[in-house]
Amino acid sequence: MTSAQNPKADPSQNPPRGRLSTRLLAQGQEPDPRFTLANERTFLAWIRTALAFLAGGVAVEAFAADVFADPYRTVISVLTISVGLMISVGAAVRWLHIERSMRLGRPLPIPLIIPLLSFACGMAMTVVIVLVVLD
Amino acid sequence: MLLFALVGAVFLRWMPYFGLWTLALTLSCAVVAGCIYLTQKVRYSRQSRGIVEGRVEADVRAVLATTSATFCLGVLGIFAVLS
Repeated sequence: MTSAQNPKADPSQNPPRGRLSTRLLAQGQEPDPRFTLANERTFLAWIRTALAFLAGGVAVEAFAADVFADPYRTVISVLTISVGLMISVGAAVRWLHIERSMRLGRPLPIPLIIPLLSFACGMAMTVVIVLVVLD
Repeated sequence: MLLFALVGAVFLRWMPYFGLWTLALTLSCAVVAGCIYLTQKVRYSRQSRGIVEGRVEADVRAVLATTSATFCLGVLGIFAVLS
């Protein structure tokens, strides 16, 4: 149900928006509520991925003591956690861009987080394979 | 919420290896999960009301808070690994 079809969604009767919301999402109109909620759900899915990288990075440092030597293990662990950090920030940026595009009725932006994550995972796998082969 | 609690439990499992750093990580996860739990009812009510009214305001504060919490956990994790 769009705002135009629902008489209760009269803009003059809408509650005032929060300060952050007014500042970051200044332009355009509220999109269909289903799209806003779907955008938030996608953001939470990316946060889930970021947390998985985080937990995995910590586990690599503790768990892979027999597999990799000390400095290599630490590097892999820090890289994995850093990828998790990048994903969490990228998820928020993506959420904001999508929300702004929906408010302005523009085409949705290309999700850069996907190629960046693919590249980072590819690099990490290459590093691990090289380290395993060298050992 | 459940995922933050689960990740906190995973960190706790590595406490014999990392020491007190894992306690900081676990407590941070517990605080985040607690905050999500305490604000859950309000958020769900707001969203349900918004669906009925045909207008849901994007929850910018929740998105920024979740991102900040995840980022801080990551930084704490890097400190734990490097310490």
